[in-house]
Amino acid sequence: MDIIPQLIVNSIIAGAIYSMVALGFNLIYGTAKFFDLGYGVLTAVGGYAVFYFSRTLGFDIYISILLGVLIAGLVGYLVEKAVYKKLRARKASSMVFMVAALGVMTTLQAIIAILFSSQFQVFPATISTQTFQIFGGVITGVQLIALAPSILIMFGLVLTLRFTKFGKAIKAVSDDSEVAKMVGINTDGIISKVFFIGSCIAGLAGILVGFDTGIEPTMGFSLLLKGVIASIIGGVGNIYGGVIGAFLLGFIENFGIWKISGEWKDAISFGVLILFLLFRPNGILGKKQ
Amino acid sequence: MKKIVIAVVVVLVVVGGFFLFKNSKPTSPSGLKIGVILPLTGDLSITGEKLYQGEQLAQAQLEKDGVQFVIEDSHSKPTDAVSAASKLLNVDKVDVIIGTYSPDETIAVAPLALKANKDVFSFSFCSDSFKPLTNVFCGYPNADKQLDTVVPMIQKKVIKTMALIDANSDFGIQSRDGMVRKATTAGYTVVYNDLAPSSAGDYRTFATKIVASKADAVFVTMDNPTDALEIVKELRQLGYKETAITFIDVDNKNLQQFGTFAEGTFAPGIAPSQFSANYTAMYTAKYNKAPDYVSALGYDMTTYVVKAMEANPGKDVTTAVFNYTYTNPAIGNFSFLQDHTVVYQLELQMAKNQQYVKAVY
Repeated sequence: MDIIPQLIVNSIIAGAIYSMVALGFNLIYGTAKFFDLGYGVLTAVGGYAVFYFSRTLGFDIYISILLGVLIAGLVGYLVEKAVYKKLRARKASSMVFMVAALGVMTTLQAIIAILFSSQFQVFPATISTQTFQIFGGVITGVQLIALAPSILIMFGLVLTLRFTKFGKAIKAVSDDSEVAKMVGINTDGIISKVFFIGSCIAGLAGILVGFDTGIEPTMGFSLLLKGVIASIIGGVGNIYGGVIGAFLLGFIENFGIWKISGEWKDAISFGVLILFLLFRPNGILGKKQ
Repeated sequence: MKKIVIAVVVVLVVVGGFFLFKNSKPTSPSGLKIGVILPLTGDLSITGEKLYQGEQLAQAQLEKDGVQFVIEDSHSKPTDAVSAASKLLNVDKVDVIIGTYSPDETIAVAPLALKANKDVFSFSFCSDSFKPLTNVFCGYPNADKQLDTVVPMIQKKVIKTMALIDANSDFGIQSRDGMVRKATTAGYTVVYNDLAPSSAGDYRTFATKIVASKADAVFVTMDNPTDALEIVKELRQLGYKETAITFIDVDNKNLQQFGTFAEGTFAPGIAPSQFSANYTAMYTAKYNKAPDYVSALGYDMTTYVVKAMEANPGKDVTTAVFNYTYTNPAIGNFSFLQDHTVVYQLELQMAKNQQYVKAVY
């Protein structure tokens, strides 16, 4: 096995997962305008829902995946309705939103741990156990499947935002929610729907991670951090930027530890984040403020 | 006058009450209060729950003597283990601490216990880092003793190059250093040596570098068994067919999660044949499954320490433990040596059909 082709494959797999998290995060940030730290835990919600339906209840794996995505979306939607909408009505500061989101994350993580224990869980190997050789690198069937959603979701979001009434309403709320409200857009309704869609994407990312490696209640936080770094590198709020940032981060992480200890992986990611914040705070594709 | 009478009555009640309670006998015959710290939640909970099962079996018997137990959760974190120890020592006023599982938790708790003049009977392996900690006893043989079971297999298979990937924790570092020390005796060269974070999930880059190193064998030590088996799984996915040795709890439950990926993986452990018939029957009756060594360790450590203290009233715990002969332990000839380490026989196990069996190589 040649190391470079494998590192490229590893980078692409990591980039695909990060891009899904970044896409959902960017979508929510773009409309709700706060750093939703609770977003990461929805990856665990999706993962554990699939684990419960497929392993405990014995449902068909594809039905379990569908239910997992929908449950993650529903949880995100309910959190928005029960917490963030009320804070918005009170015109709470972004610091209050962030603390509330931290509370949501901690609460949901604790509930998952109580229901399923904190133990690392592995999904049944029902989707694909095959491995494939691509230009000298090895990729598993699950990893190959994981590549498709990130690209499909990106194009789906772009087409929705550009060509549908709903997408245009999202852009209007994203640009200026007060003006959007004045022209008759139900901003709360749009934000709630965005939370549902974004949370579904997070749930799917968690499910794919579950099939690739496994799940644990705290899995969402590190994924969220990577999604946030990818968003900042690519340009916060920019759909394409999130994807570019995610793949770039995947490559930086994997090639960064090629010749040095793997312990440096996170330090390299955050080092790059600091560099971007210092020298290009709007990211690669972000608009200048 | 009335005020003076009331004041005198209050003083008499307070002083009388003080002497009454001071001279009162403990509510239990032994009067022993045992603090137990286990990783019941967090990364190490899979082990913590098993230790708890064994501890509960011991507790059920010892409570009949009036011994009180206070159980605390370390959440698998050294900082939380310190909080738990502080509560046990300062609020509950326990006589001894049984537990903490990871070496890092033990290292964190020991100074606090020493300050309170209490001993800590850790379930951890006997780390070299414990040597200066005079109040710590450990429940599992040290890295070198565990590695002694691996060396004959390495020599028989003529393994010439070895890749080491270990947790960046006391356990990981001690195990790695042990493997480096054994290189000359066992006849291999270390061609890859790296530390890995816990619960990373994605260890692909580590696995890629190990495969690229073309090592004849890989040695994996992680605090959480699932991390170690995840690394083995990712190695197998990349087509690595060489020998894999893990330093993890020999527990079939872990293997079952990873299916065929863990097949053939070696791990030192305690042979099931070493569990006493009495303990096996007791465990099976309560939990309806065969015992594992971790639960047996939980049982033995608790029973041994408490029985020793009961048999040596008024003596300090260290003296009590060395004065006591523990009969019918769950694990082989479980007993403590003068250097506070344990003695019992380990053997190399391997994963076969999702079960750990005595290794054949």
